Amino acid sequence: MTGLSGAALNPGQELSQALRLWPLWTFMSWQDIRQRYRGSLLGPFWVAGGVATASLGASVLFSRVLQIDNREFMPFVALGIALWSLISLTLIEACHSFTASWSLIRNAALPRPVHVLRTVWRNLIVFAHTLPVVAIMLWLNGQRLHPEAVLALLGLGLLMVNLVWAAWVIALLSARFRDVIQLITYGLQFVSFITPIFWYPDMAGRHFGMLVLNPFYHWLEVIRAPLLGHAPNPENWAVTGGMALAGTIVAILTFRRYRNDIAFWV
Amino acid sequence: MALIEVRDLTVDLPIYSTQARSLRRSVMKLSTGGRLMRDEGRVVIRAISGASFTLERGDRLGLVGHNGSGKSTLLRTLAGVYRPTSGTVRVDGTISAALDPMMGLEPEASGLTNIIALARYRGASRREAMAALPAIADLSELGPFLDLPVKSYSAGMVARLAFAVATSFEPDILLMDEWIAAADHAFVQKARSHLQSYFAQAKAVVLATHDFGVIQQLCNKVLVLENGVAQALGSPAELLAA
Repeated sequence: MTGLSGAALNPGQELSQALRLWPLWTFMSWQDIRQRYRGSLLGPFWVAGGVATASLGASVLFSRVLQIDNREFMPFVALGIALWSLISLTLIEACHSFTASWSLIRNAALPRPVHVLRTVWRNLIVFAHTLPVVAIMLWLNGQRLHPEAVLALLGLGLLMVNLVWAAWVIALLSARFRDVIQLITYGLQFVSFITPIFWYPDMAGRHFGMLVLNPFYHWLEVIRAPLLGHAPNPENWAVTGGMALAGTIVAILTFRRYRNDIAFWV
Repeated sequence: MALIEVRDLTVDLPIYSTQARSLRRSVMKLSTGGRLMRDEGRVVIRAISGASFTLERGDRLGLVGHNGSGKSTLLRTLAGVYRPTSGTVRVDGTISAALDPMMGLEPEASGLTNIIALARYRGASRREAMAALPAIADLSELGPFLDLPVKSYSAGMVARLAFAVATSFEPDILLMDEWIAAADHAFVQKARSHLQSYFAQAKAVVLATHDFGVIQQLCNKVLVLENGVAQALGSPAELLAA
């Protein structure tokens, strides 16, 4: 017996069916990647190449401008750029989660969150392809893994929860309003400058109080800090964990309220 | 217990214009308390109005009506794409919806790749999809074309592919919009005889069609829709005689 439950589902059941359908959305993510890099030499490793060139360029430039030790700075920049690519690409591609799947949304009995989970998972796969390059850049600069590195896994888990709810909300807004993709794209460009990717957090000096208000700083820090051998601040954990919880609640509320409208918006 | 129970179903479809999608206008609407531009560019169509029917195990319902009479909306509501504006829809069982032959097609990918993907969109597992692949390829009669990208297919070939996937798994309930007409005569004949044996396996079928021949051959109930209102429900013999 094969099939989906369609009209039989209430919102709670639809959410849990979406999660149980993980073999489907992971399949869809891989299909997307195969499709996107069809006939390309390096496939998703091109993104790894992008991370490598950007971190090399940025670390050579900024270590001189800021007069800091490049051997220490390059691992920091490489991790920052790889993580920032994961975050920004996920949030930008989330704008198309529903609109690009309009034909499935209007004709198939699939739970709605499947389309968002597909986007997030696809970007996690691409991110995984950048990890060997990051590892090499860390190793070449004498950066070794400390026991704290285990915390990075917890950090990545929290980041994924945050990306799922944020991608859901963005997908919803962007299906309704055509301007959202521009706002997200240029907004993230701005955020990439005020987030410590190319500079150390303590360089914020007397503006550190404002930095603490930037959620992306905390999202980066819970993964980057443990991999560089120091534990993240308690407030890094508090903000990332708190946002994961609050954001999930917001996503569920908007799911209940707007789920039916998606088919009319796409 | 009824497999499908629809009671007093009303479905409104909002249609959004370009204006209604503008963020600037929505923000202005907020700041003016909604008085200035209330519902500008947003039209609501009542696609289904107060429909009721039940389907038991073994029922094969044919939906007939003019273009825009609400057939597709009813199918989409049963599939869970649209939710009722008022009234209830109760569906007891798994669903396979074949509403649009172009659904989920990846034009750059080969026919075979698309078959696997389409099967999985219907809830088939990887293993089930792989196991069904030879039979689906066979039924589609597309042969060597299955290795070519779907963008090179004609409309009829796409219809064959989608039809073969849609009718190769066994859901409890099959929902179908009759687009198979796009295929050539020989395939339509084959499709009908395949549908007949396939309908015998499904617990319930809802089929939208303009072809009374199909209804007489395949259905035991007919629902006539007009402007979203269910005009009559009965057996094909009763309704087509009238």
